[in-house]
Amino acid sequence: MSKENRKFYQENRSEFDQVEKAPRNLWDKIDGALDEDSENLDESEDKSTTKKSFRIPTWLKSAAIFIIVFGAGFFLAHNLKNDVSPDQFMADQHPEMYEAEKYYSTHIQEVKVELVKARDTDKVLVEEFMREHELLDQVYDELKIMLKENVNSERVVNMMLGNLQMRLEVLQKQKQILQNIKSIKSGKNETKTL
Amino acid sequence: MKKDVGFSNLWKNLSTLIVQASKQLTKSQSNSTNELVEGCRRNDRQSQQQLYELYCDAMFNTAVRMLGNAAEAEDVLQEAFLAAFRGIEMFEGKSTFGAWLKRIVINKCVDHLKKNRLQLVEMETYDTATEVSDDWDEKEGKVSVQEIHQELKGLPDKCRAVFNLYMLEGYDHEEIGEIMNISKSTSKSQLHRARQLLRDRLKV
Repeated sequence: MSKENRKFYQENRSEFDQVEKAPRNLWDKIDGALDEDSENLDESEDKSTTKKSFRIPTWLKSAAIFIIVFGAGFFLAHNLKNDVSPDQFMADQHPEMYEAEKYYSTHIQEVKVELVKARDTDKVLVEEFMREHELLDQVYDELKIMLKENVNSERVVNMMLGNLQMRLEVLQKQKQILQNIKSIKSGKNETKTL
Repeated sequence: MKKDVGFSNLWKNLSTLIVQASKQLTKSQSNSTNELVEGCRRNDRQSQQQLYELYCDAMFNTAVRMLGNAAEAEDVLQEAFLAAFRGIEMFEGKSTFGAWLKRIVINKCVDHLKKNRLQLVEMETYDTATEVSDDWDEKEGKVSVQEIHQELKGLPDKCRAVFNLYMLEGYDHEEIGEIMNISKSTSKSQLHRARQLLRDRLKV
């Protein structure tokens, strides 16, 4: 019996977690305490010692991602799988987002299939397009995990929607570019045969 | 040979697209928890603030459910976030950051209860023979989350804490026993008591 009862609480978890809002000025107090920490640290540290921290620059990270991914010839086939998969969690907890996911996943998939069909037009270009989408897809997955963790859901949902909208827009533009390239190429061929 | 102006325009469009997509990507990535946690490790205040804003409401409500009032919840919340930020090197990524933070919040709540108010006496002898009736489960669904939240605050400390840990945080009685340093059977009787009291107070 407790188990069915528990189901009610688990299903309404996100609502329970947003009933009250955290106090407005709480961050300021935390901020202040962290400032004090660094002041105390400065006082006690020997100022002549320099701490070196090596951070991998973002451009290098991006380059590494592109290099690793570029070698994958099977990349296109892998990307044809529908990567926006609405699921039961979304249907229960975030129905409007679930609807949006369903709508976008169909459209995104349609345009992707068209893009892949057009790869003969410009293979390198299409591969680059697909890489972009793989990265966007990863970001979307991370957002979804955050949503499941009951992180500030309104904000996360907005980010997810933005991601989906952008993916669709980008896909449609990419499709257009390919079509333009195709018509130019066939136009050139015609003038050759004349 | 005429110049392929068409192609260079296309490439211009394409590079704009890629730049736009990358900017969006960087922005989204920088908001993703992993990036923020890495920022915390570098003592980056922006990352710490973003993490705070992502988790503060959910953690606050957990603390309110454990402690029964907002004032104490605020104190514990502050302690918990500071502990998390100061001790970030102890987060190994075995669980999600949210789960790790939640555990800190819960432990601090339990410490707070033990130090200040936890009523130890009468609870142990509560009679668990009377089962809460079946129709309570249906009726509870018709009561609002808000109402339940408010009534929870009014429960005695120990059974409220157990109720929260079992129903909302999803722990089982053995885990609750470890967290609160009580026996498994005490946890069960506390849960039972909480459910009875809620039912009475919600007048279902």
